Amino acid sequence: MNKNNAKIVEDYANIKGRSLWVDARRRLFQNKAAVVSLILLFFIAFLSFFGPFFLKFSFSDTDWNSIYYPPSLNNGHFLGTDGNGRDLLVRILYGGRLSLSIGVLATLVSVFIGVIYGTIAGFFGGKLDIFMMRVVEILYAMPYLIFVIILMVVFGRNIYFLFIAIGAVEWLTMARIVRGQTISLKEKEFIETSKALGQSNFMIIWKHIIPNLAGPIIVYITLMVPSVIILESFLSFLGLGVQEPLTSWGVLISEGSREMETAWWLLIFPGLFMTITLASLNFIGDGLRDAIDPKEY
Amino acid sequence: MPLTQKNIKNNNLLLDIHNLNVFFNTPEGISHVVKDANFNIKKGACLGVVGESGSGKTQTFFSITGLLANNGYAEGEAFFKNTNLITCDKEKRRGFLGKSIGFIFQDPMTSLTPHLKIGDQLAEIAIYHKKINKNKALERAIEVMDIVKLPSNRDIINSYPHELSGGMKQRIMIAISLMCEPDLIIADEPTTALDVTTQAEILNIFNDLKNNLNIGLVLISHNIGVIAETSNEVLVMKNGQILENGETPEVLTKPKNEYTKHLLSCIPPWIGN
Repeated sequence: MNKNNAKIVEDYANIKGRSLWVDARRRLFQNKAAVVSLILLFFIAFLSFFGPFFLKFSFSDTDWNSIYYPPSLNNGHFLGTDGNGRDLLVRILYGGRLSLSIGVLATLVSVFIGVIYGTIAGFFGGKLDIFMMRVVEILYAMPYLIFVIILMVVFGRNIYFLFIAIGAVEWLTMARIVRGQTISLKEKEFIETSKALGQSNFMIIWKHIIPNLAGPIIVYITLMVPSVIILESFLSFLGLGVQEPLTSWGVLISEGSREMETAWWLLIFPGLFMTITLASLNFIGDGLRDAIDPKEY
Repeated sequence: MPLTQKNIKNNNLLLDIHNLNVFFNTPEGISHVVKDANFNIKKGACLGVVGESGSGKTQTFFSITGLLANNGYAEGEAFFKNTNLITCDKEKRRGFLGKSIGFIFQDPMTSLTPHLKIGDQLAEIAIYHKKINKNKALERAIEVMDIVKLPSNRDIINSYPHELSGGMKQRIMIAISLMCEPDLIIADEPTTALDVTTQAEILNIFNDLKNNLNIGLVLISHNIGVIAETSNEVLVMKNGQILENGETPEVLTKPKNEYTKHLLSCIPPWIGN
């Protein structure tokens, strides 16, 4: 009997049940738009991070002999060159690195702050909740552009501060969503059960509330990454973002839009990369929302 | 309270409650939900608590375990292991909960965390309270599943709550409360959400617990049939007052209080035989 029990215990770690997540993955992979988007997104990310190694041009080297080359297969500038003779494809890929990493990192920053803030406010409730949410509302009311400009002026135009500045703005919405979900979760019986079993508040938040928040959080992440990329583009467009010769999709588009009458490719191609990425992320977010909701099928 | 402490030592008393009052602050004023409750629970015995909805039977035990809603507070004495659970600090009370006092809720469907495997949920409690490692905790989980008559194979500890039936989930809930070898289990309408055959099986388990493991049991219910089946003593409550408290056969056959008579007359006569 005891030996048998030991075997069951040993097996326990090795067996994967059909969990909510396995079901969700299956449903996600049944969604064709989401699968195509996933593949496209991975392709673009892969190209951005590894593509530049296989191209003979550098993103910063200017070439006065090849200014405003239109796209062609013959001279190696597949997507043409810009006004300084720099290869557009390499610049788009470098811009992709930056835009995607800002998208992911700033989102992680905002998720980290937002989840901690939101669960604490929602779980403990009462005066603490009222105070914390008023703080969020005050920060909401502050025009974020001024906030970002102040940050940039105080700390200098540093790319890492761009991550932090954007994350610091985006966490507000995250905190609100998480707080709302936490309030509805903490009334559930299984939280009451955990309390009756003498678990500490920290344990309840960590083991019972945050995992159950994962669905809404993941969906919101996929919707937040595009908005962060757009925000970065906007800040770069205003000159608050990355500096030359480094570039991002937002910078490329803002430069391209100035020269679109003479050199259309400078606007079209960065715009195309960005559009595909954003559309993919939105489709993935949509697919995930449907997949994680167990009532869907 | 020297007398009370003596009682605990001498008479096999597990939980001794004196002058327990529970209040709620409401916009309309203070609502007095439990009025001067006096009763006790013995080792290896089952106390049945009957009463209509809103009679304060659940709130009595919520106040002892500190589960009252934020606007509620309790006064009085509830001695458990020489500690007054009403006045002692939260941390100390939490040390008892889950370890020496188990609590079972009405609805097993929603009482288990949906994202954790059954084995993890069982083990979690023992790891938290007894500070043992996971394999030890899982071995204990299998032992406990034996007690609640669940097949101790790997299928159940590996499944998620949504894959089990209501009766199985309620057994898991009982198993969770048994993980740390408690002295007292409080079951708040444990069979209300279950069908009649499952009810009978669960009540059998309760009978085993009190007879074999010498656990004190509180069974809160509005089903007199359930109480008659398992409990040694009955507490009849109405409007927060304890109307009658005595041995089950006596209360059920020779009720003294009008309300108890009234309650008993609600049982269809063909069950009475």
